[in-house]
Amino acid sequence: MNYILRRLLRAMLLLVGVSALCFLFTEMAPGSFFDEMRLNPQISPETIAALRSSYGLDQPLAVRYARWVNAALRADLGYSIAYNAPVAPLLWSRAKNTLLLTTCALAITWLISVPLGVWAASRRGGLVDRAVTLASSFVISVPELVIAVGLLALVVRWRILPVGGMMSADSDALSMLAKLKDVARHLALPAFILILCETSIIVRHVRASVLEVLGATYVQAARGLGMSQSRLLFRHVLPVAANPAISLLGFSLAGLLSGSLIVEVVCGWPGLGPLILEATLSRDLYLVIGGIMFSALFMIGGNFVADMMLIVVDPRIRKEGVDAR
Amino acid sequence: MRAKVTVLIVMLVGLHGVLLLAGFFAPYDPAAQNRELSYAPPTRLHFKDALEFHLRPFVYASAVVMEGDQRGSYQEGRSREYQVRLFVTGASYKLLGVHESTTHLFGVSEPARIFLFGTDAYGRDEFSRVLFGGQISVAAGIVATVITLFAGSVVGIIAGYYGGWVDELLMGVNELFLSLPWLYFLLGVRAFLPLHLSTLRTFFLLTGVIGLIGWARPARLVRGVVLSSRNRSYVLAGRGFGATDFYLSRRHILPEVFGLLLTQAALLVPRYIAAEVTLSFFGLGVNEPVASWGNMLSTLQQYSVLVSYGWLLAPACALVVTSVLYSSLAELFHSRLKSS
Amino acid sequence: MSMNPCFSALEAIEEPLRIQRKAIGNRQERRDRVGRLMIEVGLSPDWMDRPISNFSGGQRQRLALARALALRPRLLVLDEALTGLDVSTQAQIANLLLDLQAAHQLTYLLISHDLALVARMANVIGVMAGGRIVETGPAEQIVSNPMHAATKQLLASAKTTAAKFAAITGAPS
Repeated sequence: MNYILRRLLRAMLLLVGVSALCFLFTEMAPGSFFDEMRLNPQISPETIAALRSSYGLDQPLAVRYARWVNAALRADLGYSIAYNAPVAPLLWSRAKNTLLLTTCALAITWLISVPLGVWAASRRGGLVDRAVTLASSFVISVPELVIAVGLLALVVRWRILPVGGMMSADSDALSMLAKLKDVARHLALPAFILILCETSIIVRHVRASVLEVLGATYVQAARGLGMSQSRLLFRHVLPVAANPAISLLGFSLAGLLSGSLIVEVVCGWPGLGPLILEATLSRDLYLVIGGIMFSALFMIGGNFVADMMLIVVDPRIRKEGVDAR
Repeated sequence: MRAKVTVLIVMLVGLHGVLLLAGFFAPYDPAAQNRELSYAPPTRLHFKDALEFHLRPFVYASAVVMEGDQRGSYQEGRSREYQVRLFVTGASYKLLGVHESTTHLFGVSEPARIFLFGTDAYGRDEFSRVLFGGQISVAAGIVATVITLFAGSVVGIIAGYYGGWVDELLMGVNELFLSLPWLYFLLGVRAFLPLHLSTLRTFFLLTGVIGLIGWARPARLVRGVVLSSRNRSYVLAGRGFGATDFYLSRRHILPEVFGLLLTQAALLVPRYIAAEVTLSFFGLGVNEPVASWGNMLSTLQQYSVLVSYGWLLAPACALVVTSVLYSSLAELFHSRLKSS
Repeated sequence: MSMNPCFSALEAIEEPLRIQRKAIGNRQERRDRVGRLMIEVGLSPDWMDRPISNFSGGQRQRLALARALALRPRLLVLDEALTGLDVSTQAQIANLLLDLQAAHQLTYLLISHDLALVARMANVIGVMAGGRIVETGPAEQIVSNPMHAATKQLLASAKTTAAKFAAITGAPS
């Protein structure tokens, strides 16, 4: 219980820290931001002055931070200049699309990686093992951007799947089932890229931790007692190997919002990524900060959930409160 | 094992050497435009003409065939053969930024061109641009890695050595940075810097930002090494002989840190090259007219270009080769470190 | 393992001298000095450049002794110095210790749970129980005429072991 509370406190402190950091960003170059705005003929000087005072830029630092935090807590993350709309709802609508993509990819990734990793580890040096190791090494070496662009080229050239956006132009006319199919077909490419990249990383970790457990003395002893391979795997190896795997799952969860930026931009999936990119290019201050805060929130939350899952799975932590990361 | 590492290092040195001496290895100036030869496919090297087999390859001059009003495809003019010669005289460049020269490794006489990787929208030689672009991208990766490892080491050593509240504070900040989504944070920081700067300033800004953001994980690893080294019995023995902290750090702790840093360097360089490429691809890094693998690939965001002019993926291939070499090296270092 | 496994024997033995800034002289002089120390502890100076990880447990103990002697101390604390070595090596190192003591006029503070060793090497014995010294005296006196209960217990168990050994081998205890 003590451990849980400490972890929670830590998560809270991290949130405060992140918010302070984001706030500092707003302070560090507001001058240049508003200077750029002045250069923009579409924005009148009156608007700029009004914005400056509405953002309270004439108040002392602490007051401004307090106001900012206050607003953030009420889910008011400011106003987007480019979209002419409040930031929070914008973020959320796009975040939903991102989450759709990443949760599908996550589920499939883990469904593939765990059995594959266990299989490769249990038949070490065999064909499956060598193939998995080689393929995953290669995929990891190639930058995600290259994989995304390469696969996109193939898909567009051979017209396998529709690309760009989440739904086809005429989707409103379709039935519910057809709409789902349509979304799924648009989802296929970005999800595939994500699954490919993530599986390569996770399968290696699963394989490594299963191998580590297989080499332990109590496993050797169990084998010596004549235990069958499957019983050995399920009763003794997997529960122990689950510990690092759960940590990894936690990291995956933490990255649900932020891990798919490149894929989304390249494939044209309307998620959080392209939004933040656009915001960066158009110097839309509050949208960018809102995006960072939002995804950082997810990350901290995800790590916290991972810690909680670890407690459930690993009794050692319950007793010692060891930092298992 | 040793042999593998040597082979990899030789290949990497070769790659970096070619990039460093890009002016010599590239047949053309990367900024030289040939509007009438835009989107030209890679020049085919021929060894056999109508009569016989030649050892020295040759090319034909290519030109666009107009089909009525429309631009057609490229056709080779078979009237004359242009041999590929070595050590030709071409556009002038500055070797390593100091020595002015006009000698290029290979080339063909005008009006034929040898576009090994074809040309881009402005008719610029893709091969030359890959070499010069590689200078920017790889240099960005290396400089950012040095920054990260330096910052991470300093923090990790201080935290690990002094412990106490210094350690707690530093690790708190460390965890904060680890909680930030890397790419988003990079975008965020980039957003607050002026968008259009001179190339040199952009480069330094870019590498600085990429490098400084990544200090957290190496710092944690270095701290771990320092902590475990501190309590080794030979360190305690040394202290018993009257050794100062400085001596112990220098003789016992730093060598271990160095091994770790080497592995980290091999891991980080390809990642940071990819980061530069990604940022430039999105238009946030190095901009035209300076070539970098990233902004060369950004033209491929238009599907029509992507599909029709596949040779423009050359920077991606170069990036893959570089990444694979570095990653293999990192893997070898890692397994070596583990076994020792 | 109190020596850095990556160091060579030379570097390990010379370390106290370097720390105390007494590693003077040119390269050859320093190597000669270390070589002499190695001979004293029964190791060949040809092994000077080998890494510590290449040496066996008993050899490392000798190297540690050479290192300890490098600064010409007058007192040497031997805390369980022979524990973990196999029996024959223990005997060799024990003899070495006695030789070194005679050669360099050393005083030893030997801490051990091996009563036989202590009885053989010590002039004065102090018995500890429960974290404090409960009895001290000249070695012969402690062994022949123990006063404290703890000392008596120690001697009794030693005698049993010796008797068993004699019964098995037929040698006098």
